[in-house]
Amino acid sequence: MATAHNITAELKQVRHFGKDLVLLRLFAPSVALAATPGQFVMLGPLDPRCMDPFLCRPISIFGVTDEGELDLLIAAAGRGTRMISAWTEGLRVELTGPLGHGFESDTKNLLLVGGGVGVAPLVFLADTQLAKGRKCTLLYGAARSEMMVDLQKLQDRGCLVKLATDDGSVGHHGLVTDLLSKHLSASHSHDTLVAACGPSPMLKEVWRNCSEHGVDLQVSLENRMACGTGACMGCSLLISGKALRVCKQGPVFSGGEVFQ
Amino acid sequence: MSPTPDMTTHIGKLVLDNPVMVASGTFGFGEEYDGLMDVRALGAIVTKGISLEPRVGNPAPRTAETPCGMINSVGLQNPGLRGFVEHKLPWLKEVPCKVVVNILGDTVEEYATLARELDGVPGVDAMEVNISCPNVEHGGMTFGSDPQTARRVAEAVRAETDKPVLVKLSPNVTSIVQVAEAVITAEIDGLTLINTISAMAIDYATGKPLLGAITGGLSGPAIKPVAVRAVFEVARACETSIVGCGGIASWQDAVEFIRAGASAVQVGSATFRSPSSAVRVIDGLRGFLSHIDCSSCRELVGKVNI
Ligand SMILES: Cc1cc2nc3c(=O)[nH]c(=O)nc-3n(C[C@H](O)[C@H](O)[C@H](O)COP(=O)(O)O)c2cc1C
Ligand code: FES
Repeated sequence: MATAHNITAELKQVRHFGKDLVLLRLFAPSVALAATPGQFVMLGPLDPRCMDPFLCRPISIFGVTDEGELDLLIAAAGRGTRMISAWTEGLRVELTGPLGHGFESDTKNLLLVGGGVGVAPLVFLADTQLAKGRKCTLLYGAARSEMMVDLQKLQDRGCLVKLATDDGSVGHHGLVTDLLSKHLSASHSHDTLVAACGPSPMLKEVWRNCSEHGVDLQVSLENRMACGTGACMGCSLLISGKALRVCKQGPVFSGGEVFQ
Repeated sequence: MSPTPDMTTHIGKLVLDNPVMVASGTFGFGEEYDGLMDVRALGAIVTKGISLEPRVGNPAPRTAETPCGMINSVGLQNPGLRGFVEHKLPWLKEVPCKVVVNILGDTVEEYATLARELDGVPGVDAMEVNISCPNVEHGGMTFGSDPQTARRVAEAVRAETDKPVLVKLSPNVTSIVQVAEAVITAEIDGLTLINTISAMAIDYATGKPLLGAITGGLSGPAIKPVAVRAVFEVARACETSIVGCGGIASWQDAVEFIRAGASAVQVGSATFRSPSSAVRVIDGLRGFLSHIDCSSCRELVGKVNI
């Protein structure tokens, strides 16, 4: 197991996308260096001086830099994530990571399907795969264009990005899985892996498409987490008849394991 | 300022280097936190509850955050006795701190069998008996909710082992003192107070309970005053060592429990919030004892000024 660290890190940069999406850049070399795509961190306590909210928040790793910085993409959905989105540069925050079992990819072609903030681990995955000279296509869906993160940098590096929104404000007017089904029907090489992260109805639909076309799938699952380290058994799901901890045996599982 | 206060702690026959343990179910089997904090500094590690056979636990979701705490309905997922001894104990044996194995059963016989099997196992320093489980033979009421049933479990375990035995009491009773009085007649080494408080949370908008099992156990700072009261009442009524548990997140909290009558404490959910919580409790407690010129932690036990 790669070593996880519990550290205090300085918030170097806060970038807002729309009113509900924020990208944090933390200086966290020990965590950034050890991280692989699909892993996450436990971020918190959100307010060290106050016991409410009590727990940390599991946050996927969006990316790392050569300078030891760690990027985290956060959607302000509940009270905790709303507090995080109000954080400002210079703040020092505690975090633990990298945690969990990430993506395993040694294929030439990568097809990524992200829904909402679920795009985060896929951006990190695309980043590392492009660096190895592999081909990546990212299908990215969200409710509205202002709830999407800017992926220009990834496109500049050669990743093909296709968007879908529920309201049609950008890209395909409809579901990201519509894009997937078109993509798989048109062409796909046998050396393709689909990696997906997003809401569970989306993941189910991705699985249906992949099994129809006989393509390998890895999915990153989400669940409420108390510890994030495998200690509390609070995040277990029954997967292939076994109680598996999403934070430890996951969050990335093979599609077959989860849906068959 | 006294130089270095003596932190050695006796709980019946169990001797710890310092009075701070990590609570059952909040620290897995120890290795989950290796590298994230100084596991070796702990007085003891209490393991996740072990049953005879492996259990898969309750349906998801199993945790819900609440004001200053959380509710869990993990439902005692564990690898079973054999899985524990083969796969979890080898790592625990290598750490210098004491290992307390938390045990649970469906029947009095299951508790007795667990105690008998663990009695001969090297590396197990003590057992902590979780009696907050449903008594399958008697309508599913928990063992801990009736003083005489609780006593029978304690006696059954005591009869099977010479290792130190702690019995962990549930606060979900009319009188925790009555349960404590009944249990200590079994000549156990001490009591752990308290386990989680029965609780529930509902999503106001959808009307759905936040836990798959509908109800669960509340832990964290929200329950601390209840736990302090339980320790105080039992300490006044019973001649036994008490391990205080419930909402401890700082050394000040630990001192509060010790003053209420606890000889040792357990840090539970606070580890989720910050992995080094228990280590900071140890350091802070040592610093405080030294600051008030107290030469040993024992001197502070029960020092509440009424
Ligand atoms: C996720 C979780 C799992 C727990 N599992 C056990 C268990 O297996 N056996 C047990 O005796 N207590 C168990 N407990 C109770 C704790 O050991 C402790 O008594 C309780 O959480 C109160 O302490 P705290 O407020 O410091 O967490 C569990 C608590 C939590 C939060
Ligand atoms: S969140 Fe505690 S085991 Fe996964």
